[in-house]
Amino acid sequence: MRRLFRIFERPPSSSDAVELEIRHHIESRAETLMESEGLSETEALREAERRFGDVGRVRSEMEGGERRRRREREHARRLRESIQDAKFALRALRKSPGFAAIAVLTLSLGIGLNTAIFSVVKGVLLDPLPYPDADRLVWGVGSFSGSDGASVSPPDYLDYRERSTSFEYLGARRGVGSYALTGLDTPEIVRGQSVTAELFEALGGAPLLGRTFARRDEQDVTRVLVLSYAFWQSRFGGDPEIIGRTVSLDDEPYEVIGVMRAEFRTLSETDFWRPIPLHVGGNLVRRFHNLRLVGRLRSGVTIERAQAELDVIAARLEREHPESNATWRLAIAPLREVVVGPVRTGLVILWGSVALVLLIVCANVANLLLARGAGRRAEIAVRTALGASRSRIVRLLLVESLTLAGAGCAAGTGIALLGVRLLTALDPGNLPRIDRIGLDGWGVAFAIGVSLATGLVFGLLPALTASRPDPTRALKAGGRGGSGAAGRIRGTLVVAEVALSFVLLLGAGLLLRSFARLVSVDPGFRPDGAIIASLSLPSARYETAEEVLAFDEALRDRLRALPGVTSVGLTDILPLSGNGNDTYMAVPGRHELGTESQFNAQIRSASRGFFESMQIPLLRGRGFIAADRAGAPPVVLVNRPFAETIFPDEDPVGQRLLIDLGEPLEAEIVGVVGGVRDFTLGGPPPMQVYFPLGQRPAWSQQVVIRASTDPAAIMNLLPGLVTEIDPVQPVGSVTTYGDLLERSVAQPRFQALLLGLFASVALVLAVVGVYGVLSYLVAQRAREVGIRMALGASRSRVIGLIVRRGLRLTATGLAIGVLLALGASRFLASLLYEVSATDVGTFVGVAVLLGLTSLVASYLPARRAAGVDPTTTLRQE
Amino acid sequence: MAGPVEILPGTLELLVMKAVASVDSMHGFDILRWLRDATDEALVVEEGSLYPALHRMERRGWLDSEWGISAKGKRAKYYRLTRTGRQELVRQERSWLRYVAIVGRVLVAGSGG
Repeated sequence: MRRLFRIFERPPSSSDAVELEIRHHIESRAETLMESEGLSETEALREAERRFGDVGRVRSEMEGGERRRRREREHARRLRESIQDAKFALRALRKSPGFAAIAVLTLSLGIGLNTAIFSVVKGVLLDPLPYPDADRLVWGVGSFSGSDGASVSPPDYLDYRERSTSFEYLGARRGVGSYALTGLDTPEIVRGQSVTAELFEALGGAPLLGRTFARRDEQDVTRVLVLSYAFWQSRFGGDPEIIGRTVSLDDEPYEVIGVMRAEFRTLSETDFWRPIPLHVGGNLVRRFHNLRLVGRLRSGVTIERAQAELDVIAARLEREHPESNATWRLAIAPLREVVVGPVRTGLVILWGSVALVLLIVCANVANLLLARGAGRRAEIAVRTALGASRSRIVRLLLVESLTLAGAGCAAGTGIALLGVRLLTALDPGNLPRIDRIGLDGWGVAFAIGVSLATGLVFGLLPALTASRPDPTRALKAGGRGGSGAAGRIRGTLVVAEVALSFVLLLGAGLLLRSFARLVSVDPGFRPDGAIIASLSLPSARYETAEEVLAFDEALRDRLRALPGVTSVGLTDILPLSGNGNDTYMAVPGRHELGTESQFNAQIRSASRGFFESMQIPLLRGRGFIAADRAGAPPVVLVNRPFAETIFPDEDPVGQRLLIDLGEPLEAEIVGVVGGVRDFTLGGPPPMQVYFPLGQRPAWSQQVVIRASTDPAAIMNLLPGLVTEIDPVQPVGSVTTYGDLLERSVAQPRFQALLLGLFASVALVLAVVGVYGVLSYLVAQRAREVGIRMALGASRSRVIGLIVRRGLRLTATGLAIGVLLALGASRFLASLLYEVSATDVGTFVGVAVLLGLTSLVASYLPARRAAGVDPTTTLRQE
Repeated sequence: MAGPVEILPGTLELLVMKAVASVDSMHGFDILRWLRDATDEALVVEEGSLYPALHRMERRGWLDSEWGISAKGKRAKYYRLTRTGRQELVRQERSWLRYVAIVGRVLVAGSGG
């Protein structure tokens, strides 16, 4: 009987429990004392307390333990309940596989896309540069009046290196060049970079074998090499005895003095490095700017302080060498900015877009859950009536959405894995360190985090709505009645979906238009059908200009003899190849070299046949002829932008130019050719001056062949023709101009493609959202529709009623979307070419597209509603 | 007869389990009283140390508890031996008896030599 009583005794809270237990003991003791010793109640209590000892100490000792025990029990209970909830959720989801499949698919798409883009963003933007203390690394470029990003001359570099105290190391480098590697089985073109001492140290790279360059290697032309790890492995089989071995490059013997570690890079891919003889020949000329600097700041020196010191040195150099250093300075920036800066905007926009997709996904799944919640109203009401608290029900529903999110996460990780592989395969060509991008632990953690967050975001609202306490009403309505609040929330979600989709579609539309403009730009020459090949004649074997020209003539003759070849030309630098070369020039009598009046233009060398092969039109005067060779009067061609800028109102033909080629050269302008887009397809054609190859020969050159036959055949024959002329001369890359151009639009294509993909996903989701909400609405209002039709409303009237409701939601979404897009447009502007970020046509087009699709999405459920026989619906009620 | 003895450290738990095992369930004061009766008041259990010991044993899973109404109509916390507690009691009883036997042998041997 005692036990029976006890069952209904609820345990007191933890501190009360301890207090009660001690109290019980003392009172029991006091009672016995009163009985046995005949003490009064007060005396007995006092005596009982005395015997018990220090009540406070015992109590606090017990309370600590008690609290811990309760916590543990509580945790165990929660866990038990959660497992129960999860089991229940899985069971519930298994009962509606269609709903579960759609929700998981949608979620996995959102989570997968986000994780894939996150992996790229992390690999490119967030991971530190692969150098020790990379935040102390700076990039240094020349800067002079009105122009940034120029190079630095070797004498200036040496002065900065000697005079500044801000740097632990200050190194310099040139671009990567190609060399003919001979003396091994087959001649091969390899990549080499000229660097100064201290560059390796600045980047924190110690050699794996041997040594790197020292200052003594810069004193004279020293033929020594440091090999990259990959080159050492692939070409020399990782030979441990490589140090001291001689390698033949461009027919010159070079001694290998070092091998770098596998992970070391000098910001570009190269096979080897060679020292720059800073104290020899052209490297002593202050006007020849050809170095980019990499410095390691001393620890504790800020970039501002270092820049201030460099400015002081620059001012002193300006006083010492006014003829070359007027307004020149050395500008430094964090290396990190230089590496990731150019791609940051594009990636951040992609990341933002994919986040919008995720929001739409959340809205959609929330919508699905709301519809489901409405269907489960009765079930929830029963649970509430049986005593489940609201928080318990919310928890149950949240566990259900988290279970969905978990499944979405698993599938999404798979999508992300594929996505990352696809993204790196789509390599836009400008993503730094793309080879290191992959789905790693961080990516997986990100996916899990995103899934949890989405699970809460899309689950909370429906859970709160569905668990709204009012069991009686819900039970009475038999689970069929809808709640106005849920309907409003669903409408709001659809509006949000439409608005976000509008922003994404607009972004994609603008990028696609911009891309279309870009690829339809007239580059000033005809790339399709042109074959290009690069050649690098070693100066050891081709010592004089005559020898180079003889080779060129022989190659031209052989190529032109091939069937189908219509013209062959050579140049030193091809348009849109990413390279350039410029110098100062002046028109005698108007400007003077070495003063502010001189101007700068791109210079190129071109053979006869070059303009025909490129199909660059000759606008005035004559092209190059065989007589334009060494010893003949110097002549040049200028392009249209040059003619229009320098000789706006005159005929340039017959004018003379003074050109700074180390020594000033005076040449006559004999003709004008069309301008070509040179550095970027989007930029305007720069001013250019062409020298005849016969008067300004190039050892490193590009062959352009135009043929009426299959280019592949000619491309295959080309290496053989070169071997006929010079058996040890390798041919560099042979490709078509089309391929080269592909690369120059790879980045905009990458962006347009991805944003297009995201926008398509968004569009589908938004349409599904609109369709879902209206289907639900129709189902809810079946009775109302039935009554209306029974009362004589026409079919078209009923359809109109429902479609109007859908269009109202869409229109609201569109209006909000337009505002959002206007706000976001400035982020996109920098990625657009000749398309305004607020381009009206695109805005209207996207709005029409969204409007039409949502019209269809509204019409289908409306027609279904109107097609129902009113008697059936009414009887169902 | 000598006066009451202080309880040896480590034996309180054994005694408590023995006490609780004797009936279905007991509250703290009952346990004290049972120990006093069983030892003819020869053993002194410090009242202040009993309750922390009870809670400790509960955390270890040897005891289980529930709140109920005592015979005198007061709210009291009742302790009961769990299955683990029962096993623990057997284990501790055995090891105590062995211990006493060994110590006894040593003492006998000592006094004989």
